[in-house]
Amino acid sequence: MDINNDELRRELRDLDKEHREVMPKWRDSLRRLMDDKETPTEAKADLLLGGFNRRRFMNLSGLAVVGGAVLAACGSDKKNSSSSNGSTASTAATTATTAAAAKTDQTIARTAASLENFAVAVYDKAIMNAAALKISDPVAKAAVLFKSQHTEHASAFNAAATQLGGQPYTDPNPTAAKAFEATIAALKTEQDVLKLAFGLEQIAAQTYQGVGMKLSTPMLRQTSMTVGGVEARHMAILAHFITPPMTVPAAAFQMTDKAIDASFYV
Amino acid sequence: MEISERELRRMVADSDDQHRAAMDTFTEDNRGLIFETAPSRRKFLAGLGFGSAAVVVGSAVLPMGRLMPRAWAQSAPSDSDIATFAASVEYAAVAAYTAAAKSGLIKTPAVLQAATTFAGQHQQHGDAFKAAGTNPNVMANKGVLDSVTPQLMAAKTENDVVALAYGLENAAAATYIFALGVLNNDKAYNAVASVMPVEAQHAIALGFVLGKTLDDKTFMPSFETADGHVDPAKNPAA
Repeated sequence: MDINNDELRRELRDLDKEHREVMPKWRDSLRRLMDDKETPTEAKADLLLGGFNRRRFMNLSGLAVVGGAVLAACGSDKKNSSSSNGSTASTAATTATTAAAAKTDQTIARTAASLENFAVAVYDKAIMNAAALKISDPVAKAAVLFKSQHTEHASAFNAAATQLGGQPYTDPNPTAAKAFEATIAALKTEQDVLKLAFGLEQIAAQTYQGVGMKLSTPMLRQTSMTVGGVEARHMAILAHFITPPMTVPAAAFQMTDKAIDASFYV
Repeated sequence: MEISERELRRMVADSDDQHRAAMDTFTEDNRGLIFETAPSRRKFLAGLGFGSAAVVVGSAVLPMGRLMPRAWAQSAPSDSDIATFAASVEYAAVAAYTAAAKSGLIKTPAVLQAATTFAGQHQQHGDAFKAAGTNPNVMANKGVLDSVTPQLMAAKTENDVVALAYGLENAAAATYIFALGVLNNDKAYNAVASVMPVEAQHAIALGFVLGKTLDDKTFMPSFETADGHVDPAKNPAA
């Protein structure tokens, strides 16, 4: 059977027009996805690679994959390619070390999520009892904002935990909840709330700094500090409302003496 | 004229071959795009990482280009090189605050006190980075100074000066977030991670002076970002 040439030309022209209309939108969407700093890399990969990306491929192969280190090692950096031909004798050791590092990364991400969940719970309590605690409007506004930001932080850390092969953690940190139970029950004034919140933000800020070198890749450390920096800002804002006035920053370098220890890990 | 079915099948097959040839590299291209989005050390060098094409310090767009040592064009900077760069940025901040304090525009005693305190803290930052770096004679970053100085000279009010300092603090915080994505050794990491929160807190203090509100994302973001970082590729340490 022969096909009418005019009909064919018309259909091809229509297809081409449709394609040309769609491609700019596709390019724009792709650019926005790539520029999105909050969408995790893995999510972007899943979206664009149909759920089959290099990390998952390696997981399916039984190899433990940790953060960006393996990706970098397997990446297109040809300069390092000659040095990547390690002996088989070191492969087992490397795999074991990588597995341990992955586990640590997962634990830290989950623990961070749990701390954020705890912060959400504390701010929520303050908001729900704002009238009884005589919380002023400016402080209430800060509490509402900080609660929402800690919710975002928890989501980000849980996304990281999931990407690292772990399970998300959606409850408040149990050790923190127990440690501060009495303090929370004794809250009576706005200043009580501010001082508690300041203390918690300080613990969080120092923790995200302190876990840095326990994390296996620079990217994970960077992720941790994108949150740690915000907790530091929270501290400064809360300090603004505390009386007598607090000086923040009190020193040139943030310390880590108030960072949580392993007893808080989940 | 009509075409035969055989001709049509050949045309479609050709088209399909072309499409498949293009799509063969599409996934790989995307994979490279996705997994290399993070600022690798080489991209830190080229300033491609998270960084925007230019950094805004105060109200000026910092020209991205001159500051990196030529050697950095040949190979990626080490953690020590990055520490030296950080020292240069800190010393530029010291110079800026010192000039601001001497300008006579800061009338509020508390603001003057803050400027003096922050200058001292930036000095300590610079000294710590210098100790972790490769150049014991590192000086204030010329690119940053070239951006800040005209703005300071054009400032007419205390608010103008504070706004400049506010931008500088946020740029410093962003720069350290950018650097954290590539640093590997403990010493460099600890230096940067202990300083970054302090710059963020400086920004908050200055933001209060400027009357910033909580809905201002430069004042109270949900996440720190590297947006607006000082690009070492364009502003290398001397």
